[in-house]
Amino acid sequence: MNVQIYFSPESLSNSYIVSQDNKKEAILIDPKRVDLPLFEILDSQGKELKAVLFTHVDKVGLQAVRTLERIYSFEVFGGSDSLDACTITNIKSVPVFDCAGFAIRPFFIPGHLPDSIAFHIDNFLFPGELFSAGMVHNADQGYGRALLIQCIQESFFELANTTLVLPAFGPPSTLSIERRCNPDLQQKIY
Amino acid sequence: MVRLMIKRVQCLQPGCSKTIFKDEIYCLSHHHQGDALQTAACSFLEHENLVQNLNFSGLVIKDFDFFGKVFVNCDFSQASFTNCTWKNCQFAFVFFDDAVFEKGHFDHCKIIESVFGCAHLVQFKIAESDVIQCNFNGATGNNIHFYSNDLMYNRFIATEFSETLFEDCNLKGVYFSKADALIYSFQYSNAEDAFFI
Repeated sequence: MNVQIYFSPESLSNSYIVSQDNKKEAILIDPKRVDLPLFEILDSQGKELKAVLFTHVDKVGLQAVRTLERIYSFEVFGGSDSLDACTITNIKSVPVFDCAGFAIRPFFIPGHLPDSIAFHIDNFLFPGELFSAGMVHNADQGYGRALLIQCIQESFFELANTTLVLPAFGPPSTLSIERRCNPDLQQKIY
Repeated sequence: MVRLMIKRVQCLQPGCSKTIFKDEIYCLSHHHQGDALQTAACSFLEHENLVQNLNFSGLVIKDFDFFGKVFVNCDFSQASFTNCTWKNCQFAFVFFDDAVFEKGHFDHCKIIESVFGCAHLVQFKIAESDVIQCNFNGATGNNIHFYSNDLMYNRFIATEFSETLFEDCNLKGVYFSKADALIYSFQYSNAEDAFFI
């Protein structure tokens, strides 16, 4: 498995291109803007975009999809059915789905947004903006935040300690570090 | 842009939480040829200027000068560096989680998207370097001097550093724990641009 990180200086967010070395198919996770360097990564390696995965679908991400649609033919996966006439394959309640040769495990995490999904591929976890190194997203309400923290603890803490965490914002991390040092995840929720 | 191909796999020895060394199935401490592998790895690092996609988890290095080396997508988790210096080096997506740095320095280095989480630093200096979007969460240590660095978008959440000075550093978008504001010295640094959560 080959993961490439693209940090967009405009949106200050990370996007990830996932592919296999010997295959042309690629997956793009959480595109916010299709800047020229992002396109160059795909183009220079002759990768063919097969799917776009959204940890949360918003209008900024859809703009990126509109741009990419002019170049590639791909499927969009996320936690909702559609947004602004863009058809999205809803994988909220699917345990595992196959895409570009990968078995992808989606985790629906309630508490923040109705379509928040995290993706687990191989030993990489893509939590989007649900949590990043050392912090859990500030959900609007006390109940929502408590639910979010509980779901993160229950869903991800069963994964291996060596799992790499690649969030939408901020530096990379590992599940081992998050378990031990993320102050928000130390809270006991009953 | 960083290409990431490394796979972190846990040592097969029951009860061991370390990751495997290079393409082996055990970590260095449980590998039956651990000492030989250790020597070979040090020799490799001495002669190669570009080190990429390699797992050196658990490596122990002493008195080593990493001058001008480029590290891309490497794993040095649980490694130990004593009296080692890194000058004019570049790091992209390098994992130093749970590593130990004792008496050494990073000087004029470029470090991006790397992880120093839960690392332990003692008498260590990071000077005149660009350290961008790195994770120092949970790191511990004492007598650490960050001097004239660009530390943009780094995270220092739940760190436990004592006698630590952030001198003349760019702290834009850096996250610290609330208590750190009282413990660390931010002389000539723009602490007002950092977040204390």
